[in-house]
Amino acid sequence: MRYLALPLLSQNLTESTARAQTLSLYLQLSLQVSLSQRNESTMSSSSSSLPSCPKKVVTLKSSEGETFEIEEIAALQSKTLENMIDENCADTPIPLPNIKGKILAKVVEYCNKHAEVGVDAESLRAWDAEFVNVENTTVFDYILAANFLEIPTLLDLTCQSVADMIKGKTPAEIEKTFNIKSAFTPEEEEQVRRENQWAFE
Amino acid sequence: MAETSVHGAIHRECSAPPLSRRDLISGLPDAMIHNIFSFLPIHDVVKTCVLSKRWRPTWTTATDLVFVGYDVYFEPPPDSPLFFPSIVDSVLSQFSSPTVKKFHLTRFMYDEADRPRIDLWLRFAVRRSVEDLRLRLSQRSRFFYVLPEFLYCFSWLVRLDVGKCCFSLDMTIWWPCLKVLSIEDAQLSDDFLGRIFRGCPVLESLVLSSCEGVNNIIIDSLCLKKLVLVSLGFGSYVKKLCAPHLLSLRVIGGNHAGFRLDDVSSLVEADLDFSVESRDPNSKGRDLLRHLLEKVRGVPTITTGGWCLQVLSLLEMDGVPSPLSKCQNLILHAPVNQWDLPGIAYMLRSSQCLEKLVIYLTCFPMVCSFAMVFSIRFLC
Repeated sequence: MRYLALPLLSQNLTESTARAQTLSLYLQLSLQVSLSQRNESTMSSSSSSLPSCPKKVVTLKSSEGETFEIEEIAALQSKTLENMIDENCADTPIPLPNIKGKILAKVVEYCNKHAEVGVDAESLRAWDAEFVNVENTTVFDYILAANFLEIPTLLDLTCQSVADMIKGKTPAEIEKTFNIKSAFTPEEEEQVRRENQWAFE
Repeated sequence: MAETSVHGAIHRECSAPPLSRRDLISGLPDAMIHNIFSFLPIHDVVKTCVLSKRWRPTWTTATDLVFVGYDVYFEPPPDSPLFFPSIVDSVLSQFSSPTVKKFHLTRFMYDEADRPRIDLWLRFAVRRSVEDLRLRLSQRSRFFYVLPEFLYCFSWLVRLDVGKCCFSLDMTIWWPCLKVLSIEDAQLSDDFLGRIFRGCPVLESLVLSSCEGVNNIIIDSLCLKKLVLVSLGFGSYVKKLCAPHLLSLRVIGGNHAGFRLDDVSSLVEADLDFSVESRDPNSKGRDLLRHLLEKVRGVPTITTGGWCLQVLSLLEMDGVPSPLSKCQNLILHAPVNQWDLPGIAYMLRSSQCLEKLVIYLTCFPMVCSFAMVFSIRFLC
């Protein structure tokens, strides 16, 4: 038989569990009916069969010399890599001296995830949120890597997460979050504030 | 008295501060900082000028300007530095970037007297080749802003989003790079919509929200893949849609009573999340829903919920046969109380090719933040 996977992401379990069980029972009954009807008719092969040709792979080399493989279809998320693939320059390992191995591994993971088919938007968003739930230093490394490799979705994701750390904060709070040293004298700072007083009200 | 030692000078190791305490953000190139700014409203962007000398001029060369108004009239008053139009004027006067990629002006309480000011702001953006223009005036504004003539022919525009604006329906439109168009709360006409289609050869996505005057939508373009029709008002609404190359259709909101689909043979996903208000909810709503389900029989991904699911429940309980559909992915937004289960059964019965069922448990009529997601995969 097929399996029914019911991952529950809920904070309020008691009422929801009762609903879940009722729903699951009803659905199983309906499923049995529709699936048995389907089994009677001839079925063409399912669309989830694997393609017979081998998948093309691109090799990337980090600044420390470590190599990482990425399927061509996932590599297309990077405009830089896409250009190289189009120009047939992607058959040998591509050196990326600006990107450390630790970061490159995660970037490859990001591209692989976003190239997957059949992932619903909700779970992809949750995955993305988890992906940028890391130390500031790592997020900045992601930004630089995404910029260099021209991966617009990763660039937006990482810049948005930094923007979220800035939004609504006072300058003092921003300085503390990012270890920015002001170097303005109090008089200079006062003058700068006065130029755009409205932003500080 | 403390001993001072000349020879015993202690050599301290000059190590770099630990990684997590370095200021990495200031080391980013301006282009990256501008990218971060593109996600922030203008006052957060301008506030960065006081962080350090490096940051002081950075905001003035940004490429995105996002102004969000207060949604109220005359508060703060015109002589206050917080008066919204004064803020916009001040920012634009200090802005030195030669290009503006994004110019957004939202929640602005518009008054007729503001018209020349907004004309000037739009001209500022247009002269800097703006690509993403959003002008959404506050819904509570007493007046509609008449869009200036220079906006109708503009080669750089890629995204345009307007709300509570007036179009001159006899103008010729030329937006050769426009890919995404969203119009809310405007008086249009079938002819004007035709002008839009002719003047936007690469348009991919169109959203019409509470727009009156549109009766028949005929889309020949091979580029236009996505159409969203939202109706929140009580005016006359779209009667017919003929779009043989459309891939994605969403019909949202109330008052779609007279809606009919003509040719949507290429549709890959359909989202029917609407309701019909009429004195006899049974007949009009049922007929419309049955017609639409018939028309989307060949569509692989169908989303529905709310009112539609309840009408389907009525059909199921009346024993109305469900049209067989080729739906492979069914997405339902439902609270799954006793009123919805028959409707879900109706959809399951008609979807003989179903491979994936996703149910977002909602608290009708609003989607709650702790909605549960069921994802049931059928392996054959």
